[in-house]
Amino acid sequence: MATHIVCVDDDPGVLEILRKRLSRPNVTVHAVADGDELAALVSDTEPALVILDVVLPGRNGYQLCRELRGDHPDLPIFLFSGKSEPADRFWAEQVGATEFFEKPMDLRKMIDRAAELVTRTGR
Amino acid sequence: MTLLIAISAALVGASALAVLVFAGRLAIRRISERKLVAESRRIHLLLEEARKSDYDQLDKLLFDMRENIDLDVLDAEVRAELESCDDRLSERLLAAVSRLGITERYLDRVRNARAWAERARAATILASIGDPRAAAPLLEAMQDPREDRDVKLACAEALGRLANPEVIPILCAGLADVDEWSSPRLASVLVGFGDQAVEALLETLDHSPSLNGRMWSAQVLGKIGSSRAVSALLDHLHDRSEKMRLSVANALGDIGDLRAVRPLVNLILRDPIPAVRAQAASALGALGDREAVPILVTAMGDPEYWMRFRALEAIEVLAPEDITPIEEALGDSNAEVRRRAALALERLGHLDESFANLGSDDPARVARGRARLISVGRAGLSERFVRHLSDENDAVRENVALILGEVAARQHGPALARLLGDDNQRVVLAAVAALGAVGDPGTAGALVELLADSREEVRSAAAAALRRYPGKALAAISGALAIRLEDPSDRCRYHSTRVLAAIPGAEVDELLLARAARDHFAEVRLAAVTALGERGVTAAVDVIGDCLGDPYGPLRVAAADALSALGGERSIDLLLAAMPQADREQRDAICGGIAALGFAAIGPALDLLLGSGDDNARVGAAWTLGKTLDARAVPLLCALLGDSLSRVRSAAAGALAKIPTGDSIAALRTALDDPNQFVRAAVVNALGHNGGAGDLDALRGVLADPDGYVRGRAAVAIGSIGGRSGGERAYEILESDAGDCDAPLRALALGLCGIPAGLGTAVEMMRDAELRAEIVDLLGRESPARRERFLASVRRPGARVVDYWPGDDVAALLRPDELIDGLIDTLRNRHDPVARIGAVESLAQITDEQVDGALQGALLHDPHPSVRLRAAEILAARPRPELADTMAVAARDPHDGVRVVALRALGELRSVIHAGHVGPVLAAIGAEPAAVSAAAESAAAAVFARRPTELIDWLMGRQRPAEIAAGLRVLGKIGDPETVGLLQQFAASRDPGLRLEAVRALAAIDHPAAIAAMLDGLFDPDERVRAAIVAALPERPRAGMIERLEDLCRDPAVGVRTHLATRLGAMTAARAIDLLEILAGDHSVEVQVAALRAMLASSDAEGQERFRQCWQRLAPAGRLRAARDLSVLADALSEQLRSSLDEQRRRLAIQVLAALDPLAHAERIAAGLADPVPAIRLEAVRALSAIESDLLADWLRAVIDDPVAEIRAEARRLLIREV
Repeated sequence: MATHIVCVDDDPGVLEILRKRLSRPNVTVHAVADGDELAALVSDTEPALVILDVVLPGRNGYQLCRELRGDHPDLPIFLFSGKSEPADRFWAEQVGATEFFEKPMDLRKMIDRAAELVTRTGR
Repeated sequence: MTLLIAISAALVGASALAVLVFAGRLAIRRISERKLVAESRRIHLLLEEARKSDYDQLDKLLFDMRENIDLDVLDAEVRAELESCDDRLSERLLAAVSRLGITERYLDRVRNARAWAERARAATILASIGDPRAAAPLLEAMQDPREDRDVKLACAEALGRLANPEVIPILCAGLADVDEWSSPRLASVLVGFGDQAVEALLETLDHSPSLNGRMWSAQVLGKIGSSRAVSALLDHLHDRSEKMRLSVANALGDIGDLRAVRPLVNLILRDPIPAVRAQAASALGALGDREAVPILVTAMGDPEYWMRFRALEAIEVLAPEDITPIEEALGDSNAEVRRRAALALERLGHLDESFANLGSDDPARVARGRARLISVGRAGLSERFVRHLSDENDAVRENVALILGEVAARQHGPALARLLGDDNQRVVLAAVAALGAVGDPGTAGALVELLADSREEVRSAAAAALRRYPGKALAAISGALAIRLEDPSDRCRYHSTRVLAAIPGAEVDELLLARAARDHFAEVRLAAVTALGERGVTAAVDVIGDCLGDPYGPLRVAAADALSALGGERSIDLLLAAMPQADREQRDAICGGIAALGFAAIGPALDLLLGSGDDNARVGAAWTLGKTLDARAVPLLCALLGDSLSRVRSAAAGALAKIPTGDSIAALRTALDDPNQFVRAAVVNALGHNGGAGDLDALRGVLADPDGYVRGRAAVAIGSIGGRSGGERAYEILESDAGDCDAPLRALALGLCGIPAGLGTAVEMMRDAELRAEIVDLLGRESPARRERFLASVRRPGARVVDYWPGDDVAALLRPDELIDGLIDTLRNRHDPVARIGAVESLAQITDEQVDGALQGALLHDPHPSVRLRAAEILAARPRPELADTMAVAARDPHDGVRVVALRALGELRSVIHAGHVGPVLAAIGAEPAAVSAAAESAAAAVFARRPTELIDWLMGRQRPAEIAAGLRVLGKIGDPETVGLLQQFAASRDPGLRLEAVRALAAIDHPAAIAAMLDGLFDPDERVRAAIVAALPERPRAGMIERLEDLCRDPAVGVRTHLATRLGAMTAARAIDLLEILAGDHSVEVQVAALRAMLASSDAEGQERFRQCWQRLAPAGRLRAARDLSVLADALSEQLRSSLDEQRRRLAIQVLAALDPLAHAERIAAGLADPVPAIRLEAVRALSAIESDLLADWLRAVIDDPVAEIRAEARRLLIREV
């Protein structure tokens, strides 16, 4: 059974990096540019991890995270943002994000954490 | 002789030879032509035959013909065949032509023929042959700089037909040459290339240095219709050259891409060149987007008629179902626009509909049809109406005749005259009236015949119509009229007399005097006397004088009028002789008549009137004086204002109203407090007619008159003055002070003052049926001018055309629904934004769902921001749940003011707004200008007050610091302690602006955690942040707070320390005074002064005591500077000394005043000498001992006998010192 990761970012470059770095023989990376279909995608694929950019067209990462968390209390959700205010990290916690990463410094770290998490869950 | 004969013979011979040669050549040419024609026919038949067999054996046929037939003939026929055969066979034929050598022949000629015309023809023929080999030499010719321009053009056209795209760049380059002949032809060739030419044309459009090139490339792109060109064309829509803008607008219309709608709308609104605006309007029409209709309607108000013309064309295409703007254009100032509007209505079928309406039983439909057709006729389309004069419906014939009369087109006279024999009397009457209006001389005879008609209405109408004819036309029928004076019918003679009265000339005078004035029928005499007076026939004075005693009342009055008109001593004698027996009407006429003779001429009449003991005579005198309209009458009338009889005073006031001079108005003002209420009412009325803005205040006083009728008339007078002199002030007075006036009079006044809000109030009042009936009744008793003004302003606020006619049914004109509809119609359809704003102001006074709907429409769709703004303000003042959708749209309005109002309204509607409404609020947070953001912040605070988390989720996804800062301000406004954690994080932001907003937000949250979090920022590196925290410090400090503030006493920023000092002064903590003492020793005078002031203003005695101590420690220079700032507190200290119940504080007040400046404050200190407490009196005496003043002795006398010995002794010591 394949493991799914859902990545949401309006930057195609970032999505491409995530897709390349997280793809494995048994891991499918779903890259989407906004959160319009996120809830349906998560329900369909039951992903091992959701990675959300904060600044998105339409609903932002915090809003999406809060919505997902309501229906999926155990789903690992990473938020990552180009903003580096202390308040962002604080609020990520408030909306129920599993971890918060800053772009671009933490990108590698986030990918490692994601890979580790996917491997550990074995899904 | 012989020589002569020889020469003659030679000449004859030569001539004969020449004739022979000419005849021979002619014969040869004819033979040759016949041969060629025969050959041509033969070839044609052969080729036709060959075509039937698909040109089988064509090569052989052509080569046979080439051997036997002239090549030019063969060439021409083959080319003709080439053009007529179908594509399937053309290739075979072309190959044969090529083999025949025809193509080569022209390929050679196009480059090498000597004559330019031959080269150009060769190019054209090559194009018709269509051989691709022609492209190279044609191109070569085009690129040859020495080649003739016409040859080049022929080459271009040929290449166009060959469809060789290589030529496109060359053709584009050719567009740069300014040549009226070649440019359109090159453009036409390029259009033929279609999409293939677009890239090159775009290149030319963007980069050609030639205006001509850019202009033509735009037009070609438009004709090609390529949507790829739209964005490039839009870039050039604001080119510096008006020709370019014109071309681009044209092209955009041709392409028909809807992206061009908004830019073209902007062009209509902003382009300074009328032709460009007009072209943009045409283009909008071509685009077919109905969204453009409102702006086109607005463009109908453009000052340039051509613009209006084009906008009208576009409206006709885009919105044929709404003809309101087209109908309005019927009243345009320009004849071409009017005619174009009329044609549009005809094309859209509305004229037929209008004619059908004329036959309707519904009066409203008839009126609509009639009004429209009158406008159409005036616009020049009346010839379309004539055929309807023979309509089988009587009402249609009648109305068409009346309309032609209104249009007054003389050419329709004969057609109207044919209706005089109509079976229907109403039709005949209409035709008669129309003929009178038309005034066609050829029809006057037919009307004279009608004077003897058996029907009185017809006779009367014919006479009335004839009187309207021009004098020259009537002179021709005077003989026929004279015969009518002998007619046995009284009415016929009467009408004939009235017509004769309109014909100038002594002969007619004689007829009137000799026959008509002596007629046995009184009305004939009346008509004659009136006419003789008007015509100035002085010979008629005695005949007219006889009529002064006529038993027929109207004739007596007419005789008085006629004599007045004739004037002269004899006339005055006759008039005065008639006065004693005159009834009221005749006396009025006599007074008017005498007055008309002039002030100087009425002395005897006045002697008679004023000397009479009869009260009515004095009233008559006042009337007469008023009718003179002469300023010299004013003193006499002023005297009559003091008459003992109130009726005389009232008449004098009415007369003074007719003579508006400074003296008359001054006299009226003084009469405002007349003891009789009728006189006061008359005076108020007079001022209403003649007064100016300067009388408003006096009339305002009358609004409190004890008599209700006088108060009401004062309101009407104020409204009348307001209507003449700008009604703002009048409206204010009526709004504030006319509450006690009768409602109908108040409504009349509000309507008269002409202010839209007043009109709206009047309309709202008329929605009450009873009140409306009273207003109608009231209007019936007002002067016609005043009634007309009221009706005009209430029915059509701001209207340019008054649509009220005397005689109209006033009640019908004041139907509230119609008035409201009128206002709504003005708001929706009038071009003039001032009129629309006026309508909005009026509608603001009316509470009605339909009105709210209209205002919402204006808010969303009106092109003028001021209209939208007022509509928004009015709607916002009536918050209803249904408004939320409208306000959400308005919150995105391009006008900032509208956005602000809409956002505030959304905040008010917080309980009903949903996610769809929140978007515009959030979008405006942090937006420019600040007012919009502030409104959005308040709205968001209201909307998210109970669910701040939703706001924060949104806020955290924002990137712009301005948005985030604004969001933090919203959190501060919400003041929810749950947000403290997040704000604390922002207070640690790297952005000082965010830190500042975060601490301000924390300061606004009334919660210990918020205050603690705020205090964490006390040592923020940014001075603004620290200052904000200090300014927000609570008056009751929490435990440990003062200790943290001690470090702040050494803050590097003077501003922070100053703020701290001020804030400490307001704190109740005992330790605060210690910190103030530290700050009082600050090296900055500003901080010192703030600290001392805080101590001085402190509510406890400790503060003032510390002040005294600090003051004494202060260096003299510091004191001097500080004293200036602190002296403003001396009054507070003085008050403390006089009224504080605390003995200690009173004593301190003396000490502090003495410390500040004993001499300056000596008088204040001296107040302490009367204190009941001896110690304070003693303190005051001692404080005063430091000064020397002339007043000291006076002050000390209060205590010289003080019961306390020490005080007495001190006082005496000081007195002795003074001595």
